Amino acid sequence: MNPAFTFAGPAPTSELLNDYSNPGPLERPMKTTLVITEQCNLDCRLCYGMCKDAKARAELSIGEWRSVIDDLARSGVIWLYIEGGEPFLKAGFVDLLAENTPRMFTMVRTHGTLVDGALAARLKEIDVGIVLVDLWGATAATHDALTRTKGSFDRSVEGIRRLVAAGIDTQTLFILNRHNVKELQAYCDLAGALGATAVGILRLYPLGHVKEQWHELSLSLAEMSEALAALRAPPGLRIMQSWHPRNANCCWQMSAINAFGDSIGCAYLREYVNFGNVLHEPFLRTWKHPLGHQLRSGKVERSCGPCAATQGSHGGCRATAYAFHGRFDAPDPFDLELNNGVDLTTLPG
Amino acid sequence: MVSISQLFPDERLERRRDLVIRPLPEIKMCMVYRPRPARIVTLNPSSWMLLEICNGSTVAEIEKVYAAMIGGKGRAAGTDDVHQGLQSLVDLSLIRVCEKRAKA
Repeated sequence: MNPAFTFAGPAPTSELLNDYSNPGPLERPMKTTLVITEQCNLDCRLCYGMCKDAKARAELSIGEWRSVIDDLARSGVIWLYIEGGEPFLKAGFVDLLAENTPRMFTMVRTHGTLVDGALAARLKEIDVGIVLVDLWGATAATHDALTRTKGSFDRSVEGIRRLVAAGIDTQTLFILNRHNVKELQAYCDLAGALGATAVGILRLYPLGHVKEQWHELSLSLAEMSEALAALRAPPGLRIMQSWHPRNANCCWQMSAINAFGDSIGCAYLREYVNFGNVLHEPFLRTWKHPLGHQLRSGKVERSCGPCAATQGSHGGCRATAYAFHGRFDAPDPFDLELNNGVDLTTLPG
Repeated sequence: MVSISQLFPDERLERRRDLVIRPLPEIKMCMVYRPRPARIVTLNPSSWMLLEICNGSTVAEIEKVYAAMIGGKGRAAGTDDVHQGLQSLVDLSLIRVCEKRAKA
């Protein structure tokens, strides 16, 4: 093993063999989401980052990100999930990625519209782990309407083809909403035909400009459940979804930093928490923020038994729990067993 | 994953030198990043222990060290269990045979 990149944790002991308990709060982070930029070449209705709005602060430069990632490595992080905006619009991003793939598993979330043959080959060469491509419909009409960018479907599909052809583990992401729900089966068939290894079906979050369109975009929990129950995975394609009974409380393992250096716990908590800015203090200090510790603890008002059994965590997503109830320990209303009559098509207040 | 090879007692096994090992003692697991090709793997304590022991020792030596580390605690692992665990680590390309068995 390369000692320069080894986290100095305790050696295993035989005491560990007898106990396989659920995750507890980690002492140090192991996985971090980086919102590397809020620049984007699309104009998505489903944008959580408000990418097109004017910014009051400057984003972290590549040099600043380099220092932050060094700090993360020292803190024990070995897994980076990088998203935007559109990461490939950030000048210097691919070189930064290349510097870190020898020491961290990397996942990059992109719209794929900028992935040409040369970029796909470079990503393969630098050993990127997984590339996730946001594609939100089985047809150009649906996807382009959601991105408000004509031709984006064709460009994203072509990007997926190039990534797959380069031999990169490529997965697609589908944010389930009223405008694409009827295409879910055709979408998975398309993803399989394109050579994606997996489809991630994501819930809609009331963040950014999505809040203003929530009533029009959001499905009821019954509609979501019906669509997922009817779905049949094509051969060779893995379906990833986080609805009951696979609704995880991911907070225990997550950390995240936004494009401006704010430590925000999870990209979906971006509007609710700020543990401090990594330009001004070490990341680990922000990680130890009392609210961060509370979120990681899994201490919630109610837990769904089947989901706890499959996910080893309690209460479901904390971001949606907070969005609908205003409390970080509240039940996640996207969970069938925890919903308790909450209408998901209408945001509170 | 289907094993396509079989380990012999006198074969020597070592960890890949480019692994990044991240113990997660809070959840009694270990996460391992294996680059080229990139893959992240979570190991249970038994596999984690075996990985740590693979330092160029023979399979037979690893079995002895593992048995000594287990002591009276936990389920006594048989030779087959240890072989299976080592083979899984080979299949994941976390360890490799560094010295082939002499041909009979």
